Amino acid sequence: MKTWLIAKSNMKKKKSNVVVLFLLIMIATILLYSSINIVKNVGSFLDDKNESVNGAHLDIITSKGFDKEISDIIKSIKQYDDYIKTDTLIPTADAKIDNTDIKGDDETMPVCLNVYDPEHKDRICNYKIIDEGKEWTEDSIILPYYLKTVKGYKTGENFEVTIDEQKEKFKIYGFIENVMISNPSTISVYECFIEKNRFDDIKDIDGLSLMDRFRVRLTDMNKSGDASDYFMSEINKNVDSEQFILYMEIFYNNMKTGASLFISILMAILAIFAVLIIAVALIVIRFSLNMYIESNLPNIGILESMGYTSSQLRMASVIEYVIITVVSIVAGLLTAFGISEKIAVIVSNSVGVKWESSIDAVVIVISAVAILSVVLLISLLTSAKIKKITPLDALRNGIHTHNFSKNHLPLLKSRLGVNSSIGIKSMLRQKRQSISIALIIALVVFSGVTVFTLYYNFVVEQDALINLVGLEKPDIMLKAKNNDNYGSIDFTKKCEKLREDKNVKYAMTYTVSSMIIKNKDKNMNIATEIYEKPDRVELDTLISGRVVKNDNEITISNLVAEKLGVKKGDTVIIESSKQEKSYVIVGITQRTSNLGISMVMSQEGAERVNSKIIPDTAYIYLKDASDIKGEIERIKKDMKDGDEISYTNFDEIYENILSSFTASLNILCVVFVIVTIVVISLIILLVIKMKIVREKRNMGVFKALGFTTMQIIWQNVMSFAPVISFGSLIGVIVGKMAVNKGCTMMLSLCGIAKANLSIPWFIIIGLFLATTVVAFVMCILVSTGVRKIEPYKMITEQ
Amino acid sequence: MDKLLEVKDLCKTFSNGNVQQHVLKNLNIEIYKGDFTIIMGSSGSGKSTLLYALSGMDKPTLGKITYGDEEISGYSNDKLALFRRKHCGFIFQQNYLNDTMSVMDNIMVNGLLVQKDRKAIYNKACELLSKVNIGEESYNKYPGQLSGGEAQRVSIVRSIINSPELLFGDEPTGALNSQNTVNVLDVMTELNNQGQSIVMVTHDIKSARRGNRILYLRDGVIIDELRLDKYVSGDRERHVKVKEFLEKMGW
Repeated sequence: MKTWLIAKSNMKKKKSNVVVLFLLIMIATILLYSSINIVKNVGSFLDDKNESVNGAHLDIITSKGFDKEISDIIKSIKQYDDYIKTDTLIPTADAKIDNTDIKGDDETMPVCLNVYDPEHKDRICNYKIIDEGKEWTEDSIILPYYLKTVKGYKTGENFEVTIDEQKEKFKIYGFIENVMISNPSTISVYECFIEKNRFDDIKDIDGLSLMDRFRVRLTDMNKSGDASDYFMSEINKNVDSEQFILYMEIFYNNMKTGASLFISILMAILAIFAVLIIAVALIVIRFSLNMYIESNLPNIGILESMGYTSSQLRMASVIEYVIITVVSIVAGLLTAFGISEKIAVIVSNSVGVKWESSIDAVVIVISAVAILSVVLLISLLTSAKIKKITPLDALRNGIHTHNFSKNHLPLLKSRLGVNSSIGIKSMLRQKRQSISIALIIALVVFSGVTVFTLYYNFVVEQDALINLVGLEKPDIMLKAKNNDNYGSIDFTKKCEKLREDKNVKYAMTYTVSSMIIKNKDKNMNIATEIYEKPDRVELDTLISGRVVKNDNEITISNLVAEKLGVKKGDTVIIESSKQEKSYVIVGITQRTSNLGISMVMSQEGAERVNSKIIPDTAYIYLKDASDIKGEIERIKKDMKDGDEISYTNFDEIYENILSSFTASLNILCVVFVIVTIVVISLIILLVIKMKIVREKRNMGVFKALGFTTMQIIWQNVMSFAPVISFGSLIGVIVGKMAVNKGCTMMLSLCGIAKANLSIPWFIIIGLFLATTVVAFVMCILVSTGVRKIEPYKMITEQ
Repeated sequence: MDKLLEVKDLCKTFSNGNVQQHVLKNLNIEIYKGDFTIIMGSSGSGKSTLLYALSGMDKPTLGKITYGDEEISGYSNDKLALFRRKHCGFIFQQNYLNDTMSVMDNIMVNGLLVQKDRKAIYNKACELLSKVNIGEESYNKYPGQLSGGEAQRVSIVRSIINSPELLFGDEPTGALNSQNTVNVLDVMTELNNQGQSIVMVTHDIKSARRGNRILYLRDGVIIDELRLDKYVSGDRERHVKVKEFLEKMGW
């Protein structure tokens, strides 16, 4: 009770410190709880979401006429539980979507049109409709939830799908969440549902291909990867027809990891911010306790002389900070629950599925215990100083802990002005404090370099993101409008002709074919990327070795190499359509898409193992990509093949794929800027306030001697601004050197061995200058407190 | 006698909530060049308040303080700082040396306020320090490493490094032992003999003896003053005069 009274009185005396600590710990709790909660629960959340609609674990789209073979293979999967087969329409021509109620939001993106029948819902993927409209008509369309969160689409708005210049108009009826096809960064297609009659009406239009869709449930969803491997190997063995097209084959684990990967990275960054703020809070506690001890020595002396033990006084300080921390944690948790809807928007933007926050008791305990234990530790360690104070020392105000060892920057030798010299002397004298401040600033600035580098590379320039995602990005993509034309269009010849075009930098064929790669007893089924000239691919995903140049060479991703136990220079067997050939691994690559699984070979190399593999796509790289739309029109006119070939602006597709990354990063950058300004301001506020309390008498004497308020403010600025600038400099230098490695560490989860992010100098210089200017301005503002120091009072009060 | 400072109808009132304390009441005095003026009075008579008002360290509530042709009583805080820097030196009861700076830096920091020639300030500091018997070995020491007397002598050097026209002392020997008191008073007397004007508050008769003018303050009003010749060591008659004056004042 006695110690509680002392703690209460202490808190009353230092209200501003209590408020600062309260705010810091509250913000840290919000960030820590929210980030841990999301990282911990995102996986199970997606599982629950998928299970709640009896979602598929394998989703397969193939050309029609092979349902017997496919269903036999599906039923033979070891973990098979159930499956449904439905019709689906896949665009084979340029597909555009447009919410005509919103200006300028049209985008090029493949749509997968399915039938929705409210009376007979599908057994598997029995989606719940979000914001369901009143009447289901022939004009109704159900869109992915992603379009609601990221693009802001609403039920009742007009929606248009353009396939090969033919417009189909719809009204939005609602939105569905499909974990498997949740956002375009995992798979570049929007899954939509329309009315049965409308489906039948449009199924024959050019540019749309009617296909079979198999949605498969497994007894163990965690084995979806194995089931997928088995399915693909069986397809290779049993389906041997030029007419067979495997448009899509995705499995649950792969899509779930892809959907939650980016939000997990974002939340990891938020958790780092939280740790940073906790570090600042601990420093505040240290400063605050030291300041209390120094400015309350006589009171401590009186209490000790009355018979209080130093342990009781120490305990009073510890209780004080524990109370503040507990209250702040509770406030932080309540705020986190309160803003969970806002956080849900960030998560939903990134994942593409509506995030429903729940209160997680384990995460509450983890966050609270983590914060409380470090606060307890620091307050116990810092308050240990009280033990050394005897009542006499305290009453005489006389503990001299000053180190007389060195006179830094003697005024006689200093070339600086007297006020700058005094400031820098003070900075050098308080080495430990200066180092702590510099360290915190360096950490904050380092985080800044990380966030802004990610923003620059993922949002502004995007080259690094494109290389990380690992999908080749031509300017224009050519495909046959109708699957019936498959094989009849000679893309090799088309590319030869295109290469003669004066505006075309390069053109080459591309296709994907499922192959099995074997090394001893290990094998994997991989959707192999087959380029006409792999050495002309602009994507830079190589981490060792070189690109494919000859027909007996392949490159594989590091994850494939790891799984098969092979390395660069090894020979592996590739199987396609029951034929086998050996290939040399000449390079190891990396990527985030397709969960890091990749194999690349040349068209000649593919024909070496299976002569039936023919290119179905052409990639065009323009000399000047500033007007891709105009170039598409011009090339289409020159080639005179607009009826059978669709021309896609690849730039637009990529923009949509990356939009989930950019939306979340925008929010993260705002959070960072706020955190940085708050942290820097609080540090400066505290250290200068403490300096004013500590050196009140000296400042009063300086004033008595004739120093003006501005001169003393400048002394303060010079004792802190260089430390902050130095910290900032260290932060940007370390950031410049280590951000790539740091990001690679985060991305290593999905097999990225090097990030290759470019860190432009304007980020480095800008952050350094911004921190220095903020610090400088804050130093001046906080130091204006010295105006209140009156020399006469300073001297008479002693 | 040349007038250095003139005070007319000076009032100083301290307020604490609804309670007002009138410390100085319509006080009128003149301070002359070359004088060693002593201000005496009982505790709470307003001695220090008067000293800090005269020196521009504190602002009067009412009245006029004129230094030469400058009326300083209406100055802002910063203007008063410039005034003090230019014209005044201070010695306090506690030495108030900056304990984070060396002896030499404590003096240099004051010198650099007025001039930029570091070498010249350093040379002058060395000269003054040697006059007050502070040896070179102490230049880089910190105040905490000096004795009370040594620290006070350093503070005297700090106060006169800029050759102020007026040196103010607020019981400068109040915290010293008798030997150190004599040493400090000797330094001040020597300075006065060289022409330095000094105004000093004290409640010690030995210190008061050093002055050539003693003002006695009671309840915020100067009730009388004693004029003497310049101090000469061993002047018994002077001691008797001061003692009688103080006894008359009820001291």
